[in-house]
Order: sequence, then C-alpha cells, then structure tokens
Amino acid sequence: MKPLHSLFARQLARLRLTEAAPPDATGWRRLLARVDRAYADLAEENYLLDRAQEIAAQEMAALDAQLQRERDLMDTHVRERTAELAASEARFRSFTSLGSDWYWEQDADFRFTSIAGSTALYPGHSIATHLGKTRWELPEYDPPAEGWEAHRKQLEAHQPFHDVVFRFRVPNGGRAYASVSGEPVFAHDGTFAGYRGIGRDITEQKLAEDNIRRLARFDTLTGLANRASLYEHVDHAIARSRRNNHPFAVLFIDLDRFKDVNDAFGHATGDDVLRSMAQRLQAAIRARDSAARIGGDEFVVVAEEFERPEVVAEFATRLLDALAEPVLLRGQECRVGASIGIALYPADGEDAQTLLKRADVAMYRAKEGGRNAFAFFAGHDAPSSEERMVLAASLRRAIDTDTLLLYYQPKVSLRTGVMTGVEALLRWPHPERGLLLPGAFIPLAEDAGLIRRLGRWALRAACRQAREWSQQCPEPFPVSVNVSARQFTDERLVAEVSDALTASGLPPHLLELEITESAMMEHPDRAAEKLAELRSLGVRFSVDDFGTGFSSLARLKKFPLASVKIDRSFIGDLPDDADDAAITTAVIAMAHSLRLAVIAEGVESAAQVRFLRERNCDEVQGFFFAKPLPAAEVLAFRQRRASPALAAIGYAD
Amino acid sequence: MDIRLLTHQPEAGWSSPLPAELDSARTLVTAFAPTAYADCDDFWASLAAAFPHSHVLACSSAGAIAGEHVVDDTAVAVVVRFERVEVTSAAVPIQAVEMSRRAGQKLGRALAATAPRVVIVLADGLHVQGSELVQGIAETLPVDTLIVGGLAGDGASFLRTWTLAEGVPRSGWVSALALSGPIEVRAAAQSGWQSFGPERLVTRAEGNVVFELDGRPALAVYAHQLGRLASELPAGALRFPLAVSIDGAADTGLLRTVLAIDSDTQSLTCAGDVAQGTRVRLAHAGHERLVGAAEHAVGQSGAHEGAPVLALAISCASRRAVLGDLAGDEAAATFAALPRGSTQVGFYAYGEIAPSARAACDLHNQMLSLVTLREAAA
Repeated sequence: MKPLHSLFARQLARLRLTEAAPPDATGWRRLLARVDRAYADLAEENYLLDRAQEIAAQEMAALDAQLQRERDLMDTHVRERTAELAASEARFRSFTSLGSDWYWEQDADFRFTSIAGSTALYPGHSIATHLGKTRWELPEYDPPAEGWEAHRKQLEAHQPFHDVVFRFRVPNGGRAYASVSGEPVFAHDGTFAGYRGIGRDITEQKLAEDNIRRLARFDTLTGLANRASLYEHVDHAIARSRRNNHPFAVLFIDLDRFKDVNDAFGHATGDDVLRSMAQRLQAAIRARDSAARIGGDEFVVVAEEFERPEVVAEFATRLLDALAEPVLLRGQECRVGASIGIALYPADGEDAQTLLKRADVAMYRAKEGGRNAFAFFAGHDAPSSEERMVLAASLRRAIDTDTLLLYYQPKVSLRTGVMTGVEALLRWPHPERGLLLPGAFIPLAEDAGLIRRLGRWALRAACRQAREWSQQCPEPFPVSVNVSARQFTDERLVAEVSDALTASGLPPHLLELEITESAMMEHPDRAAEKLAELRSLGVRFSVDDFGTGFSSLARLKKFPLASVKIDRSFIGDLPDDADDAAITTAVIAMAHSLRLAVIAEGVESAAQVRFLRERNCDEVQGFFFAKPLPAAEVLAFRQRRASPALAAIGYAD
Repeated sequence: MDIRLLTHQPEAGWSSPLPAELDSARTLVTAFAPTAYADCDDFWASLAAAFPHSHVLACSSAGAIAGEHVVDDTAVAVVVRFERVEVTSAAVPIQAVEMSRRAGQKLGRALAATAPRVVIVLADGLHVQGSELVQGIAETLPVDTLIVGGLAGDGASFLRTWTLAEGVPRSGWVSALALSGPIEVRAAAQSGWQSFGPERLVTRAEGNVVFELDGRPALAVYAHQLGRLASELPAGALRFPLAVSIDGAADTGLLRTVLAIDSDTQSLTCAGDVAQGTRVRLAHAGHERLVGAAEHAVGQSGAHEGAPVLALAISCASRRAVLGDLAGDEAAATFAALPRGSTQVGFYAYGEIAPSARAACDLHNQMLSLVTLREAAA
C-alpha cells in the first residue's frame, strides 16, 4: 500500500494510532479534531499566501506604472535637452564659421583635441594639423623670449589667460601672429581636464602696430627722434648716469630766425631749412648723444658723459657755429642761427621733465641776451608764480586800504536822452603798472581767493557812492553793480547786500544788481529763490550778457527782473549783420512782452543808436556816449543832458 | 538528583504530600501558577513550611505544563534536590520600565559570584522592557553562562503578573535561580512561525511601537495584508507576529508579538523592541507547524540518551492562542521525545528568554524554548 502522507502519518504517530487498526472512540475523536484542524490551517495558509501574492502583484504593477511615468518624463527631458543642444551647436557653428576667429580645445596634457572655425595661419596652412600636439610642439611655433615663462606658469596653475600673443614662422620667411585666450576646464570631480578658448589671427594688426610704433618714435620731417623718444632717451641717460656717475647735459635749441624764413619763403622752404638744421645737428653730435625735434623749430640734444661743464660749453659753441652757417634759399644766403639753453643732470633736475623745462628757461635767457648764444640754467629764472604771489598780495592790500576804485559808465535813455543810471566797474590803480582793468586782476583774484572780498568791497563802495549822489541830486538815479557767478551762488550774498544797504543808508531801489544770464541759468530754481530773497530787500535786477546763456522763457518769466542787457556781441555788428539785427529785434520785442526794459551794451556808433531807437530799445550803454568815468565826473555828465553825441543823432536838448 | 512533580488546585489542594524530606540548600522548587494564586496565602505558606532551606522560584502564567499536559486553574510545582550542584537565588525589583537594564545588571551581579552554568530567570511580564532586562543580565554574567527563562503571564488578560520575590508574590520584580557545578544543561528554542508577504521597511518606530511601514501607516499595512482575517484584530494579532530581519537575513526566527493596535495613531505595539530601519514581514503558523517545531526542539537541544532529565518547557501565550484546545499536543510532543523517566514542567509566558541568532541570551516572542537539566554522574 502506498505510504501515507507524512503529515497524516505524523498525526497518527502523535496519537499513537496505526494504519493497521482503527482507533477507539477517544482516539477517533482526537484524530478527527486534528485532521479537521489541519484542513482549516491549510485553508488559512492558502488564503494568506494568495493574498500576499495578490498584494505583491498590485504593488509591482503600481511600481511599474510609476517607473513608466518616470521613464516617459525622462524621455521627454532627453528629447528637449537634445533639441536645445542641437540648437546650441548650430549657434556655435554659425559663430565659428562666420568669423575669422577659431575655437580650440586641449586635453589635460595641453594637446589640441579639437579646432573649429577659420583655420589657416597662412595660405595653404590648416590648423587641423595642430591636432594631437601641444602648442609648443607645433613645427611653425616660434617662441618669443619674454612672456613665455609667465604663460607657462599660468598653464601649470590652470589659470585662465587672455590675449596671449603667439608667433609662428611662415614658409616665405615672415611671421604670423595669433592672439589666444583660454580658460581651464575641470571635470565634475574637480580634476583638471584641459583648456578651451579662442584664437585670432592678428598678423596684419601686429605688422601695422610695429609700423606705427616705428613711425611714432621719429619725426617724419627731419628723421630725428620725436618728443616721445626724447623722453625715453633722457630716462635712459639718467639711468646710465646713475650707474657710472657721469653727469649729462640737456641742450634746448630754438632756431632764431626761423619764423622770418617761413614768412618770407613759405612753408616748403621752411621745411627744407629744418631738415638742413637737423642734418647739421646730427653731424655735430657724438655717437653717444641723441638729437630730437620736439616741435616747430625746437630741438633737443642730450649730451652724455662729459667730464667738465666747460666741455659742454665748447660743445654748445660748436653747435651754434654749425647752425649759424648760412643756408642758401632761392639763391640768397640766409643766416638762421639758434639760441641754446642748457640744463645739467643731476645739478639742475633729476627727471626728464624738470631738465627740459629748465633748459627751456635757460634758452629764453639766451634769446633775451641777444640770440645766437647759449646759457646755462642758473636757477634765477624765477617761475612766474612768484610774481603772481606778489601781485595777489598787493591786490589784497588795495582792497583793504580802499585804494581800489570804481568807475561808472552811464546808461542813457533812448527816448529822453537823459542819463538814467550808471554801471559800476572796478579799476585798480597799480603803482607800477598803471590803472588796471578787471581783466588784468579778476582772474588773479579768483586764484588767490580774493573774489568775494573784492565783490563785497565793490558793493559797499557802490552803495556809498550812490547814497552820496542821491543826497546831492533832486532826481536820484540807480547804480548797478555786477554780481559774478561765484558771488551769486554764495549763500552769504543776501546778507552782504543787506549789510551794504544798511551801512550806506542807501534806499534799496537805487541799487541794481547785474547778474549774467548764465549765472542765473546754472541752477534756475535756486536762482529764483535767491532773487526772490533779494527782491524782498527792495533791490532790482537786470540780466547781463543776455543771449549768451541758455534761458527758457518760462524761467525768465518767473524771475523778478527789471531789465535785460543785451550782450555787446550782438550789438557790435549792427545794423549790418542780419542775424544780429534779427536777434536784437526779437530780444527787444520779447523783453517788452515780458514787461522788461532792454538796455543795449557796447553801443559805439550812431548807426547802432538809430537802429536801436527804431526798435524801441529802452536804454543804451557804450563808448558812443561815454566810457566809464571816475565818480567825480558822473554828475557833470548827467547835467549835460544833450551831449554832442546825442545831438548828433537828433535829440533835442 | 531527585525530582518530584506536583500540582495544586484551589479546592483540592496538593495532588500529593509535599516532599519536605527533599528540602536542603541544594534544592530548588519551581512553581507556575494562575495569577489568582498571588492571593492564595495557604499555598505559599505550605511551600515555605515544607522547604525552608530550598530556593523557591515561581511566577504567574497563561497556563502551566505538567508532564505532557497543559493545565489552567492549576499550579504546577517541581522539586529537585541536587547532590553536588550548587543552587543560589536572587530577586531584584524593577524600579521603572526604563530601568529594566539596571535591574538585570543588579540581578546578574548578585548571581555572578558562583560562576553559574545556567541561570533560570522569571520576570514580571508587563512592567518590564524585556530586551533591556535580558541584556543587563547577560552583561554581568560570564559569557558561557546559559541564561533561560520567561516573562510571567496572566492568562489572556494582560492585566497583572507576578514573580515570587523574598517569599512573596510581587509585581514588578525579577527573580532567578543559578546552578553551578556538575550540571549538564542543553537549551533550544523553536518557533515554527512562517513569514509571508512582502518585506517592509520600518520607517518610523519608537521603542516597541511601530508607526510606519514603507512610509505608510503601520496598522493599515498590517490589516491590509491580513485581508478578511483582519476582522479578528485586536485579539487575533497574537496569531500574526512580525518577523524581524537581522543583518539582511529574513527568517532569523526573531519574532515580535503584536500586543496591541491603536487606530488613532495607526500603530502596532509589540512585545519587544523593533528598531526603525529594520525590515519585517508578517508571520503565521498553523497547528502542524507549531507542534512540528516542538518535536524539533528536543532534537535541537541535543537531549540526551539515557538518564532522565528535568525538562523546562517555556512556551508562548501566543502559541496557546493558535493551538487552542489542542495546546497539549505541543507539550506531548516534547515530552515524548525526552529520555524515559524524565520530568517535564513549564508554563506559557509573555516572552521567552533563550539564545538567538544575534545574541547568546535574547528575548523571544512566539517561541517554545526547551531547557533540559541533568546532574552529571559522579
């Protein structure tokens, strides 16, 4: 009989039953219970296993679906990236194919792995032959002496480099040049992977540069060194002199009668003369010296290594003789000659600029001394700044001691012929130089920081004088004072005007301030504010030099002005200059429409007066009527209502 | 060695008179009783009277084993007198669950002096961190000491367990006997449980509570896997423990009983630590598998030919739950394989202490551990 299933056999064994005989009642019950139990357990086990499988399958399917989704997403990404990459490549190709540059890549051993773009250093050459080699292995490579070590170090340090110039031999014996820039490339883990960069053929450029450099060093007319080269020569001479302890001299040579020659014979001949003089200099100097033409008819010679100054003197004399030899111009013998100034290194200066300047100064002394001579820099050729300091000091004294003067130029009404007012103008009676006009000392005052003091003095003096006149006259007239741009922007102006009025006791309406159009328009908003403040003091304003600034009518409308002074530059050519005539007419019309009075400055002729009167200009000022007068003469002028000048143009007395 | 096996029932008393003549310093008395016996003063008094010099070890159980039978509502006691084997005992309170390891260390230190060959440990089944306790004991005893035992049970109630400490049944204590000298001892633990279903990663767990499996709520995953059998939860969870992989090996035999489920936190509370990051599968067993494993246990333990042994069978309350009224098959299976004349005694515990794949002494769930003892011939 077939053996029983092991489980059943076990069950029987446990219950101590055998196949041979049936169990008793108890045994049967026990057997039933265990067999039944076995079936139940099996069913449960199967259920759990089936379920486990089902769940596993479900989870697997879900995982699979997710993976598929992720794969699809990745596919999409890859497609997109690929498209982007293709576009990028296309752009790159355009870039390299359209230009004259090339793009290169090297591996970590600096061997070329790829080159794209325009690629020939010379006709017949292909940069593709560079692949697999390093730059220094290229057969055409011609290393320059300098810069190579530094570049090698850059490469070893894996640093980027820009515009490094490489030189190549070209079959016909010439050279080609490339300017190369590159940056290092690193792998994801940071290891050095090579270089990539661009290159450009700069052969033409380099040759052109060399040419220019050559041209830049020499004076084309004479072939001598030019100014730039000269400075180099002097610097080298200084270096040499420091090394070997021999002084050297700088000789500044200025031809004496060159201008006359130029004027008499024309520039072409002048050039010939210069060339001739240059040749003579070349011939006269020693091999170790250098000669340069630094402009016009000026030359400089650097004479090196002389033992004693007497030697330099002899040398200078020789040069003078050579340059004084006559030249043959159009059949005539002319002597040109030169004046030479000499500065010594290191006694007269330690740098090129100082030496040349002092040689120049010495040259002037030679010229002043009579020409065809030489002079050493003596240290007494005082710079003009000393003079200026002296002058500034005496100006300050003059202001403080009231020795400055105000002159007054009358303004005349074109309708009535009566003097309507005066403009105060500064004068300085200098003990040695005479009566100085503002042009001679205003710039100096600005430099010396005296402008405000000067302005304040003028204001106070004018107010005092005006007051005096107002007390003397039954019909007082105003005095106008110029306010400079600098004074106008000064925040203390209002206070100073107020002080001057108070100190003098002058009624404010008798003070007029003339402010230039450009001073007002520099900062129109602030100007408006300041004018308003001043207006509140009671003074009046007039725009000076009108037409020379950049005004907007809108602004002008807002300023509390009384009158407009047309700049003399528009008046001077009246009535002939059509433009000036048109402008003047327009300005007058415009000013009147803004209810401003118009004064014309610089009126010097009857024609101008007539022109202005026809266009209803209100007042005039200028030499036609009177030049600026000392205070004492003003009242007298006023009496003579109808001066001869006025009569001449038709005013009744 | 002299062995006597007795039973006791509340009404009927002892099955035979207590062998007080066996009382000595080399005598051990081990008893397993229903929880209610904690209040049975007569029982303890009679034992104390009969065996004043002996070392008495006892605990509550979820059922006791006497010979080839499983009994409830009955206390089982075994008395063994040794000729030359030395017996020591100790008991230590577990101050707090978190101090389980400390308690274990203290217990171990108390017994270490005699360099015991085997230590039998009975501990409170509810107020203890079993794995920590066992580690504490192992740390303080010589490395070749065999440590066996179990966590006291409480029927199917899970309310109150006790061990005998200082002569009185106490909750929250751990008691132990140490045997040193010429004693032959073998131990084996068998499970019979089978893992099924996919392996899951414990993505969130704290101590013995598992919150998440594979990033999903643990209870949901557990119940889903059980399908229609989930209707038996929570009680039925005893039948479906978690099988824990150790170092990537899946069927390591380390199981964790699911003691309780929590629908609010969707968590599973286990009888023992389940570390975050370990991998688990569900496990189940049928009658045949459990009984088969029990049969296997004897062979595994290498027991003995010849002279009778004392067999200590410590099974798990969860096996009882599976076997149901056929639970006796398990005890019968082990008994049948023992040498003729051997005595078998044991109980259904809430956790079994025996060697494992990962440690010489470990806390198990769901296992049947069998320890056989015999005094060596002179």
